[in-house]
Amino acid sequence: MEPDLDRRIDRYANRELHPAAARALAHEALDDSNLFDELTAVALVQAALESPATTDRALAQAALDDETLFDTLVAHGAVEAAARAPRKRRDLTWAIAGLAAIAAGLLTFVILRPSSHPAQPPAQQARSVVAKPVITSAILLTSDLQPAPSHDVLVFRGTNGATRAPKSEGEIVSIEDGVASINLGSIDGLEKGTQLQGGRIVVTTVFRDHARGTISADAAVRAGDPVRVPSSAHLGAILQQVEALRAVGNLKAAHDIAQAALAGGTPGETRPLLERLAAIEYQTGAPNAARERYEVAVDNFAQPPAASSTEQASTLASYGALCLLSGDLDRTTDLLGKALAQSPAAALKAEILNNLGAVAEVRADPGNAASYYKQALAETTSKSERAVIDANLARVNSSKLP
Amino acid sequence: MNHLDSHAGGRSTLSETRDAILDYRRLLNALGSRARRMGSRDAESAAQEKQKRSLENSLSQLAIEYYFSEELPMDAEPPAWPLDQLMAWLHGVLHFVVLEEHNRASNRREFSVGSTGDDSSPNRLERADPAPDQLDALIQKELQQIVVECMPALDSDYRRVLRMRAEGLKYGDIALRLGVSENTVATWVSRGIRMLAQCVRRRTQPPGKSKRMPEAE
Repeated sequence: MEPDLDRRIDRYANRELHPAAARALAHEALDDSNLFDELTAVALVQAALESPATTDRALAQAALDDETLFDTLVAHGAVEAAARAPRKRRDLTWAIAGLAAIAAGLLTFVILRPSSHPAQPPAQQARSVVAKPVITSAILLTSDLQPAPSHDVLVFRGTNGATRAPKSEGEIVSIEDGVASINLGSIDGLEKGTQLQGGRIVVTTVFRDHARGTISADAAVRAGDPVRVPSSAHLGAILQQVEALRAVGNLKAAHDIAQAALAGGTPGETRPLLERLAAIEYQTGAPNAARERYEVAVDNFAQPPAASSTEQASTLASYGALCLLSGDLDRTTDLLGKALAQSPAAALKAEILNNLGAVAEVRADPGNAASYYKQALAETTSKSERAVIDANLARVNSSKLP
Repeated sequence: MNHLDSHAGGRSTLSETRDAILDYRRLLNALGSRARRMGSRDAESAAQEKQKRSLENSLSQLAIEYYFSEELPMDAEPPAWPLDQLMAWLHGVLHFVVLEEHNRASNRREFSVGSTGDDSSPNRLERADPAPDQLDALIQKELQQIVVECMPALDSDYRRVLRMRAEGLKYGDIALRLGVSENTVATWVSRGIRMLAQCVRRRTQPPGKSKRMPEAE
């Protein structure tokens, strides 16, 4: 797509296009079905994002009359419980909470159900249920951990799946007038300005699978010479492909590519890969493996390039949520406390505080739980997130009544 | 298209509709092509039917005239609807029209199988003109599916910024909250929306024929 058109579509998506420019774009679309389809799809997304029908409550209500919608929401919103429910409508209470989760914040909400953790001994389960029945509906907030896909859910796969994996090495295909053509492109992580061969070639034009770059005057470069993508750029390309595969539900391929790429970077560079691997492994039902990934990522915070406080807070918060799901309350408290110490942005802080409230609930400490939930409410401006935290707080408050 | 007369209330309206069809030939071609990909077996009629219904709605009519007419008067005022609102509307109406076509085909088959000889009235084979709430329900359902099916696949940063925008926060407010520039927020918003749009296109337009609109046998 030509850059000018691309920019105008971006402005259209941002609703920054002047009406006259919008009219010009509309007329171009009349002769370009691909553009017409793109404008329509963007318009549908805009409408979806703003529609009252996509709020948590509206989705929950709609799902009561639409079994397909109901099942899809459950599959996306509730982890273990969804997989176990033979008839989803039987346990409507928690499912509705899951529904709220999806619409609300486009976060993954996980419903804590002590009976759904097989690792817990029966006595503990019973004690939990009897002594602290409220925790059966406590809701966690976590941005990165997604539930396992259900077989019933529509999995959307890209139509052009025959794309190649990012390459770390290529070669100079030809040289003309001081410009080298290279068989590596944006799919491999090249960008305009990327320096290759120790700075002897600077990339000037990038296409999907090839690029051109100027050769510095005094450099001895020949066609056929090997070219290596800088490791940070290559890992960035790998991450993009992993995310793309994960997005279309091809978790195995995403996992394999991320795993294979771990050896291609320094411990600091591969931290994001470890976090993606953890999320994928959690999604595929391997929470212990996911914990190990997070543990290594946390250990590598100081490795260059050192993790920013934002990255640290995000990783620690996700890891903490995973530990809570595993029932490791002490580790959860430790991790979430460290995440808070990184002064995260308000939205993440609200998630962390909410999850600390859930920990307090599990510990049968409704006073502390209520305190955390109130702090979380003070941090969030999201109506949907607020609704979930409000529900948690209301439940705790009701449990404190005689 | 004879029912245009009775539905719209007279010969003059039919004439105006015909003129409108001539004025928007390119739009009709584009919509016909889209209707065909949505599974319509009579895409031209579907596009014309969609056009007729769009022109009966005053807001969409003004928007169509502004954005798609071949010649725009010098003093034309921009319509109340932005282009994206019109595009979503056009999609919704076309989708509905094509669905109706399939339902009619389905009804005909069922009727012929179960007919007891009282099938002489053609009205029995035609569905009533859609009530506005039917169309609205269809659009709302599609929007819900977009959020439910596509949003979880989006990167968390994009989800977060889109969520804030959907809640009405200005780009400046979002930038402040996330500690980034307004330009970055705008970039994230447009990228997030376009990634979702790719998902929408995959959902609604698989190669070959539409999942939603299997061709009638």
